[in-house]
Amino acid sequence: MKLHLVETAMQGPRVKTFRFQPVEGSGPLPAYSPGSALRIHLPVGEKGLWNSYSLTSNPWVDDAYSIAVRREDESSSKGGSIYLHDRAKPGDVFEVEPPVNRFALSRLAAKHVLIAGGIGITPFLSYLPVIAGRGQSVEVHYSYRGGDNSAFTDWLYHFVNRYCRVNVYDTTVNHRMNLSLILGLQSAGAHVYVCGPASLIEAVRQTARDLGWPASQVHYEHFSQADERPRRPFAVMLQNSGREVQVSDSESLLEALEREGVPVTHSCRIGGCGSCEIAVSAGQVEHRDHCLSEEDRKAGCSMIACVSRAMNGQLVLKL
Amino acid sequence: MSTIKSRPTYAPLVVQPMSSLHVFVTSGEGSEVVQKLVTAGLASPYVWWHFTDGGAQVEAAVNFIEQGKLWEMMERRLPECPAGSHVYLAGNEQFIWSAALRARGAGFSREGVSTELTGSKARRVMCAHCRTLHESIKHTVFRCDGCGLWLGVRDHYSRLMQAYLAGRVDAEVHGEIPKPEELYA
Repeated sequence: MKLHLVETAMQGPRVKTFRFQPVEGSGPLPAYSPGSALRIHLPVGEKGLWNSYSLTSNPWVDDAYSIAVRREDESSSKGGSIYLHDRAKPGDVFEVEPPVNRFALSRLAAKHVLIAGGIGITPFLSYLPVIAGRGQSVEVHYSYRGGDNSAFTDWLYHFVNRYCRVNVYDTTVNHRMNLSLILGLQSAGAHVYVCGPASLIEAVRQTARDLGWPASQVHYEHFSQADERPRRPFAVMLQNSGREVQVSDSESLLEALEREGVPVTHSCRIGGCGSCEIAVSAGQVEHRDHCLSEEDRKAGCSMIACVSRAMNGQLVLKL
Repeated sequence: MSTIKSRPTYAPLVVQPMSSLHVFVTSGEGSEVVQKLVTAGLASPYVWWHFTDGGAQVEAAVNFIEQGKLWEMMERRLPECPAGSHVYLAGNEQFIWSAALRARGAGFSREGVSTELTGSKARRVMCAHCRTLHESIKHTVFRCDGCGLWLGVRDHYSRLMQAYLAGRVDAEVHGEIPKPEELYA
């Protein structure tokens, strides 16, 4: 569907919010639940880019979709956030896919513990009004690098009351979360949600495991591929048809298969959801996803097509 | 094996080594299972609440003569249990799922609750037509106390009602009643 960008606003030096509404005559926006993300097509590079951003608007009352985007450095970005920051202006029309939710709020939680690192605060912006509306208890722990990067803190403070605690941490002055304490003091009905850098997510999951939390009460969302390893070209052999597909260093296996007209189900495109898992019958996989388990990786029988690549230039796929 | 997803499956209770607190809740013969675990020794602290169900009291447990008092205890104490607590339930089916409802109310996820069925496998059954509940049904086919229809007991289980569903068994050809089998002894 096509949406108009109607408004932008800076939230500190590096974060900008964008508000979208439907183009005239296309009817109301599809509803969404808190934690949903929007995939948006950005005219960057030859084929353009599909990027996913958490919706930050209040799911029940807003008649628009809002997202918040951090401007990434040129060196570490495919250009999507830079395009939105520097080029996108009110009135522009964007192609988007309806929101999908891979980071939903638990309905049964006795309490929600939200842990955010940097721009990982965005999904929680849609959580908070809903949690407050349900009258449930919530704790927010938000860490950032320097006061310039503390977007949305004022907005968070509005929610503070006897059911909602907000703690902020500035890592530049070595003020850090004590995860063992944060998780250790919760009662058994609490659910923890973490969004931020992979290191924070791993630390929360590990701490929760050590404290005996059931995995079903630990929710996490990666917001970027964040993999520093160089992307090398490789070839895949499609076992069923005998075709060979070349994957260049500038594309993913999923993109190459799409180019060749081989349909693969997919969703997040950052290795987080597991929708594009493909069975592998030969070759070593360089796993870059966040969703396969250690056992899956050791078995080496499957890979996540949107991010993972070949270790030695060649793979045979059960496709 | 039944393919019905809602049909509960049970397994012998196994101590969860990572748990910060073990919460044992038993009724009747269920205490024997937990007694073995407790005697073998536990690395983390535990609490044990036992509903005597007309039987003997258990020395290592806090005993409840009235089931309602046990539910009150669970409702008051479970929300205060620390994260990483694990609930172990042993008893008959109605007991297990009544207790599981309390755990769920305190925010425990399914993963945080283990269940072992002890004693009778007789079913509580609800008639799909008139909603009459029947206790201790042992046979696959029986006559409804409410509407008088012959009912076939299904494997569909409601955790909320703590009952299996039963539907008219001769719906296709009236009067054709299959022979009842005693499957749920």
